[in-house]
Amino acid sequence: MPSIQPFRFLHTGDLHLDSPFEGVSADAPAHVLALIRGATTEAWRNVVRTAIDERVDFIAVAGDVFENSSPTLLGQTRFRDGLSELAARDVPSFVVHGNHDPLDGRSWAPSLSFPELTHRFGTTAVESVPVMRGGLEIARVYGRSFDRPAVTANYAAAYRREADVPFAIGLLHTNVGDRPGHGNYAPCSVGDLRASGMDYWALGHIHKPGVVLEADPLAVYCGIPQGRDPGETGARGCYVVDVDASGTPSARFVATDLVRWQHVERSIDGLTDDEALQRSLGRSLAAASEEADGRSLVVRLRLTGRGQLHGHLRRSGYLDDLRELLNEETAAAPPFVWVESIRDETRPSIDLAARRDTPDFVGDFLRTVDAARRAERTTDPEEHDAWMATLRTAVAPLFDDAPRGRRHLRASRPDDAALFAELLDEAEIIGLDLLLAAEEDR
Amino acid sequence: MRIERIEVDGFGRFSDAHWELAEGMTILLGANEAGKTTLLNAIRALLFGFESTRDGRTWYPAFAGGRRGGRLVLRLQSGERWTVDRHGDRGGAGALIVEAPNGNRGGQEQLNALLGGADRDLFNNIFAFGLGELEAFSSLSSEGVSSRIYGAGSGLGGSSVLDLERRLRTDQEAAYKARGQEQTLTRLLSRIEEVRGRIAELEQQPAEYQAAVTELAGLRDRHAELRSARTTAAEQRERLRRVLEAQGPATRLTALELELSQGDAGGDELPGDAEAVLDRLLASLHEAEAALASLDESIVTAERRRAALAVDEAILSEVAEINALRDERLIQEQRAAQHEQADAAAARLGGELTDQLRRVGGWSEDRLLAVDDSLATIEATRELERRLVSTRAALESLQQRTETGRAAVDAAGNELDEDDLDDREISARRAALSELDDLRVTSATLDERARLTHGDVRPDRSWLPALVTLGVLLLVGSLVGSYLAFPVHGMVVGLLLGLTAAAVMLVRPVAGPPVRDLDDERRVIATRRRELLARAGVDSDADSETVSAAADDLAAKRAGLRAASQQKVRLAERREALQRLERECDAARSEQDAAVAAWRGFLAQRELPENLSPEAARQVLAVVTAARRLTGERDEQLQRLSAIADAASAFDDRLDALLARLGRPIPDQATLRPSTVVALADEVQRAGSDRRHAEELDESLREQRGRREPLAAAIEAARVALAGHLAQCNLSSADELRRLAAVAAARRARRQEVREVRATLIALAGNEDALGGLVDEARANDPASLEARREEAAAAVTRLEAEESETLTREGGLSTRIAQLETAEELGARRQELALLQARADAESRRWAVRAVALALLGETRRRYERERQPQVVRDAERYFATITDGRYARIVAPPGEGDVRVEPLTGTSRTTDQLSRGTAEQLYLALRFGLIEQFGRTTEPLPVVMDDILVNFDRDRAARAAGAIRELATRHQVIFFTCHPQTAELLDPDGVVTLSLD
Repeated sequence: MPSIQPFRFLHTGDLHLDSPFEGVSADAPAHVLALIRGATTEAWRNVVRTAIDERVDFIAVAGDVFENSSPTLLGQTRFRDGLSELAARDVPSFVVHGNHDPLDGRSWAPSLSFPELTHRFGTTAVESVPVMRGGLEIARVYGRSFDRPAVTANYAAAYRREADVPFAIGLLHTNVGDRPGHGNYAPCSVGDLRASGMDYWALGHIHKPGVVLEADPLAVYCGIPQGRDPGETGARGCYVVDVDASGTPSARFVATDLVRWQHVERSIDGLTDDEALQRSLGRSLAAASEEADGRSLVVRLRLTGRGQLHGHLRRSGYLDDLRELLNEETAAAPPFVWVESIRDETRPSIDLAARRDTPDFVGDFLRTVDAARRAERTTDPEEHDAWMATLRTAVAPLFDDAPRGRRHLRASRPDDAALFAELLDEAEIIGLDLLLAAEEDR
Repeated sequence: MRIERIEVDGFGRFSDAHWELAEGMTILLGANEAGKTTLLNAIRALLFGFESTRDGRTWYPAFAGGRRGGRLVLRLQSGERWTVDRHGDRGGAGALIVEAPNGNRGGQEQLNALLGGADRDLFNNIFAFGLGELEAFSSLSSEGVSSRIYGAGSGLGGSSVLDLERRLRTDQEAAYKARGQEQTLTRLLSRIEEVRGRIAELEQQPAEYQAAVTELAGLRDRHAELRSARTTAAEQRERLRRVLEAQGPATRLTALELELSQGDAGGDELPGDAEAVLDRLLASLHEAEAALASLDESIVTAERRRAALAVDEAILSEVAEINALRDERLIQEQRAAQHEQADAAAARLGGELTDQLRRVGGWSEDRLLAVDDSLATIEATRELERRLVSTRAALESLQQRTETGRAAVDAAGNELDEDDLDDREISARRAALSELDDLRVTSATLDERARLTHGDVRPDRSWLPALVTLGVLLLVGSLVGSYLAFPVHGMVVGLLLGLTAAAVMLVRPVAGPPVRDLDDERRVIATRRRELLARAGVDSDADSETVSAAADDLAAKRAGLRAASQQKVRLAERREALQRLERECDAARSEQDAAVAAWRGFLAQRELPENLSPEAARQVLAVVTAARRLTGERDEQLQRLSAIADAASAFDDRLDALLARLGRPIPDQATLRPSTVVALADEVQRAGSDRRHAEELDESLREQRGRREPLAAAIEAARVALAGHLAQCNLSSADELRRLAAVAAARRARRQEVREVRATLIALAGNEDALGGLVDEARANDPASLEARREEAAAAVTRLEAEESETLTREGGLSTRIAQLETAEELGARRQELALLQARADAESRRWAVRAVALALLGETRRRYERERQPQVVRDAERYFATITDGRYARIVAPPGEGDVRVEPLTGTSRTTDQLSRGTAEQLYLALRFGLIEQFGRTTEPLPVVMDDILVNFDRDRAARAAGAIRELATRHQVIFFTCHPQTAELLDPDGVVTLSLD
């Protein structure tokens, strides 16, 4: 391969600017809330700062700048402001739009004007734009934007390297290889990526940063610059890509997030008292904090195992108190560790199987729960229907009968067998706790 | 638990009564009104407190006397004995004391623990009941009781499943409840609705933004148009304003130009400053003339004052002498005072000297002063005095010691006495006595030996030490033996050595001289004794006592002899010392005499009386010293007096000479002299002052006369200049010049005004070129039409300005709004809030759903349980019911949640309670109670069962069977049965062993 001018660019995408954090179920203190609120736009600022600090030659944005389902002008203007800041430093930007921010004539405010150094790829076909430096072309960026949220066509297949291009970059919002759990938009295969002749694929859509193809070509999902829900744990950021004189790209991840989601699991096995639990959790949080690279953490705690502490955890208000206690110590000021919720998945220390066989009320209860569980799998449609009817009736007052419940609790309405199975598991523990406590009161 | 003893202090008809109860069953038999119900209620009251009556009357007042209340002695299964003591006048708990076995006292808490949580309700219905309670099923189905029935077999203790369901439902309803307002979820959902509404409003923002941007662009175009029109109108308004303003100045300009063209131009040639120059010249002339006049006046005055001054030169020539005398005068006055002091001092010193001469006995001054009173002389008296004193003291001391020594020698000489025996004789006698003693011992030894030889001796005590010695020898022998190489053999050898030595010891005393030698020896001893007695100076037949006394006497004499010898030595020593002292005495006396002679020589040498002591001599010397000092001082004062007199005389001479030179009279009295000096000094001062003043005046006159000439010259020069100025202006007089100058000034002012008016008009026209046009327009138009046109233009400007401002405001508003919309955070914030609310609502609804499912499961379980399992209580009741009914009924069914029970006979269909005869129903209730009692006893301390004549409605057979059931119950519980029927008592207690009569 002939020698080319080495250069550097930044690959980002899935900014989801000014979109809300999902899944925070507790009242957060004001400073936590403030940080969360501004985190997506501030992370974008970090991306811009990274581009400036790293003296990149240009940046590529792989779609989903904001969310069409929850659009705000602020998100769009902040995006434009960042690009303007780069343009003021002669850093061009290349943008494709994805399923969340398609160029459908409605999503983007038509009157918003972007700097001249910004190129937004059109929707009708793959375009190619040369990147110039000192009057010479250093690379060529290929791209195509979504014209609607759900693009089902394979865009990647139409990307083709032209002759005499020093370095070809494919910029696309796509689901490579039909990854589960993600909308299968502009789907393509690894083979499509290889066949295109690109030297680097700057991909968007999957929020977890990662390399799709190690080489020939290097294909990378830049991920989201700031995780926004409990599922988006760990470091999030963008990639700085260096292309050497031989035209070989190497991508380097740079974290840009302000706050990280973290799941911490702790078993109560062997813990004998509240203080031991608190100490143990304190240690787990401190460990998580140390790994957070100086960033604030929003932590979901999960308590598992079985032991005598189970009874304590089940006391009314205990988990809330525990959460407050932990937060008192760690969530005072940034970088904070804020425990968003504590999920109690512990079990009483009794032998459930043995207890199930005991001919008393508790045994009866456990057997009833089992019967309900079995109904999910039974082949006897009558029993299944009877149980489903019982359970539906039980939850109907909130989810079906109450108008507001009907309107606003659609997402959490238990309507499938899996959800009922979960409810049955939890209800079993609650009922069992009540019955065992009554037994102890004797 | 059982009641061992009931004590009633006062309750209804009972007062100070007590009952001892049996362990199992106790029957309390009494006729109606005997107090059965009272006692039953007393037990209830003591355990659970006094009931309140509705009408306010006291429940069972202690009308028979005593304090209302009493105590129960309780015995637990464990054997512990507790006492419950309760008293009170009204309803309620009263004063409760619960005493533990260890004597500790408690209250309700302890009682509750004893009763295993049973309350009054439970006790009244289950444990202490009469016919009334038995007949009413409601007392069984009250909630507390029914929950016991269904909780009994569930293994859940006191809680019923319904209780648990209720608790769970309460928990669930804290989150959500149909038609609730304050529940967490209700509020969350309500807030979600609000926020969604607000978000819907905010989502209109992009459209609003678009519209605003478009409108803003239109407004900006319109704004440019308005600005242009407004500028044109404003220019027109401004031009008209200036034309209007120019009208006044233009008219004035015309008038001024006319005036200037027609006026007298004669003064125009006059130099502009001609009048000012005139004024200046006239002023300088007048000034010089005034100065000259003033100078002349000053000279005349000075000349007059100089003429009046005359200086006394004669006195001024004596200034030095007068001043000297003036100073001398003051000293002269001091001298007079000093003279007096010196005179007095000389007199005083003379007196003191006379006193001193008297002290030494009226010596003349010369004689006294001739005495040497130097320090050496005084020191010599002291030295001589010391010698006198020390020699005298030494002599006296020696004389004293000599006397004492002499007396001691005399005394010692008297004491000394001579003994008859000398020392040698005493020693010889003592040696003889000593040998006598030895002989006595030898003689005794001989007697002993004689006894031994004749065998009549008793064992000698001296064997004992020999035996001890033997033991030691044996031991030593064996030790020596053991030290050898072969210990055993060594021991034997040692033993042999020891034994041999012992044998030698034992055999030795036996060996002695033969008996026949003893008498010879005795004779020798006797002879020797007699010799020795003679030598000792004692009678030969003297017994041992006498010999002993002689020995003592000898010892005493020998001691006395030794003492006398010592005394003699001491006497010799003393005599020698006495002689030595006498010699020293003589030497001291010679010393004393020499000292006295020296002192006398000293006095004679100084011609002092020879009998003076050194002390007296020193006093004389002190007087000499004082007299010498006084003479000196007195002579000094006399010299001073003479010097003062000389100085005073010199002063007078100088004064007289001065006065003669000045031709002044010499004062007659000496006292006037000082004042004369003072007067002369004053005159000198005055004459000096006059001389200085005259000199100053002379200087001033010289200076003033010098200034006069230049002034006169200046006046002349000024006059010449004035004439020259008028000639230059072609004028003859100053007045003519002044008139012409006034005319010229007026014309200059007009011309200045013309320039100013033109400047104003140029300013209005904008530039000089436009001036003509403006003035022409101003002259050509009338003010009214101009004003009308100007107002029209001004109105147009105002209108356009208002419209422009409005546009600008709208533009500003839109820009602000656009900026706001671009940076609006509320929509994002609300969406975030919604996300948080939604997450919480989801979590809460899930919690709710879990509880809903748990409730459904519990309910389902309960129904199954009720369906499939009968509680233990019902089982127990079934057993009792079968017993009482003789097996006619096999089953009792008590569906939980239902208010009734059913019984199933062996044959036939099941029946509800109202389908049973009264007797059977009562039997059923009794059986159910028994079931409950048994159940209760399984989990807690069994309580005593109190029944009040409950068998009256039973037929004889059933009563007998019921009695059997009660007896069975009494094997596990204490039963107290009240009855008024002896036959019932007999049924329950056929042997009559546990029946107590209440009557």
